Amino acid sequence: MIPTIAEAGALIAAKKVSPVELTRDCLARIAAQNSTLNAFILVTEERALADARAAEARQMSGTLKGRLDGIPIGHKDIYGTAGIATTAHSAQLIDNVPTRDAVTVGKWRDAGVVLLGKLATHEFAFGGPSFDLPWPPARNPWDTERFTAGSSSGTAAAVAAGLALGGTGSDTGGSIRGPAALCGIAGIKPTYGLCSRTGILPLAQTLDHAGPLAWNSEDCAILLEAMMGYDPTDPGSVDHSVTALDIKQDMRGRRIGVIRHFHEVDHPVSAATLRGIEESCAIFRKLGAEVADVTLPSLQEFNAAGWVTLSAEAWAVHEEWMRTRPMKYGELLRCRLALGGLLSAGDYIQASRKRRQLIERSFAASAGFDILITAAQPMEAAKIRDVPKWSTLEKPNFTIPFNLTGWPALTICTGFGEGGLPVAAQLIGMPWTDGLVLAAGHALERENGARAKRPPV
Amino acid sequence: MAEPLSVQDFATIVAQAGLTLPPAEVEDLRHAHAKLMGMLALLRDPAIPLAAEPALTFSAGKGA
Repeated sequence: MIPTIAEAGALIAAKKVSPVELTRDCLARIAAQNSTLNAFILVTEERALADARAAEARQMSGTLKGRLDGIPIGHKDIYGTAGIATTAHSAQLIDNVPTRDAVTVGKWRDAGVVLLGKLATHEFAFGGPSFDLPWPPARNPWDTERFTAGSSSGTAAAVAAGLALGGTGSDTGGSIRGPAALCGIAGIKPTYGLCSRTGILPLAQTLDHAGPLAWNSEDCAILLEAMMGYDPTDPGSVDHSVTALDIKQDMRGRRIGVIRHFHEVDHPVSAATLRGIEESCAIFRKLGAEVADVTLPSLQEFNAAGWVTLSAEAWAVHEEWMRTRPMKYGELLRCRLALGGLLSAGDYIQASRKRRQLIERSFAASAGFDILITAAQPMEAAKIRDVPKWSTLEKPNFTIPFNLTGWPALTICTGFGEGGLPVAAQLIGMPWTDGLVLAAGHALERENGARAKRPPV
Repeated sequence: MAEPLSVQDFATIVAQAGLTLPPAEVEDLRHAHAKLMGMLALLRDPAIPLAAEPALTFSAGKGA
């Protein structure tokens, strides 16, 4: 049995499980399954066992640091790790070994986690799935011919298959929530400014969010609590008042807004995805919440502002290498970045002005609601070889609206659809209500039964 | 979807961006660019009021 972080933490605290034993279990699953799943691109076995032994010593001396002490995790390979290669899954950074941990990596290290290694990502968190990079793309544990979504693809695959109990992700247009959805786990993009991005390779700074992925909302809350906090070295960081995430908050009397036009009109979703959203609404009603439709600006408007902003900012990050050594990128990322180079300054400014309007309209439409709900992905995972190169330009995605607004947004598994593949819902809150969003996810997971089943691998 | 730019016009904006890419990728990009132009049109229709501020506005107290 693969424990959740909450369960493993309780067992470690009660001295019923050793962190070394827990870590060896994960390493054994990595040895057995990673050659199929490609979730880890680097396994730091010696470091993991050293971390685990240190945690075990604290366990035995009664000096555990908290619920994450001794918990085996992995970091997406755009998170800087001191003395450990951080490549962004790219030939461009194949020899890059940071001298410092990212701020969030340091926070988890200080909480006592066991570092299993570095996890696959779409190249620089933008280009994937790609088959021309130094490592192959991660595979979906529910069906290894299927796509994981991206870009936090390795983290989602590893957590779903129990190779790690949790891990880091980043989300610029849906890169935490998309993989969490297709791999049947939970992942939260926190409020913009809640978690530091310092030491994480950027994609688009006004949209980039750092956050965790885990088996369920409760584990995401544990990981996020240890990851958040003001960081003056990140210009986007906010000195906020959120110090704890209470997932036991009652749903009674809460107002839930269904962004029905997103998933029924703007981009109609699969039958199983829709069923999961409707069942989630029924659970909310049963728990005493009031459920009503809410109308936000269209997905198409959000996607136009979002992709122009993302493309322009990503181009600015990669401009020099795109001009001097473009062939060291994989084809997919090279083409996506190139598109950003064709935008004008006016295009970017218009996207920024549109963004402000979209945020104002979204706040006005959401007034009085505590939680919004819609899809996270349109359907079950596609075959990995069938993912269109320009999918982002063809159909609007459900996640980028909340990168633009900066609101917290969580993906949870709501059940299973075609071929036994997971489907998901996205829960969104107002800024700094990350705890309430996680509480809503936790409430749904306790009722919907989707956490009873692990992937077959 | 907007019509793709002509091969010649597209080659000009690729060159202006300082990009040197394989010909097949340039052609692929020309068609993707047409889809992007559809998004750009959405940003400008309806026109944004003259006085609307960009999302990021310089603030003397906080920096940019």
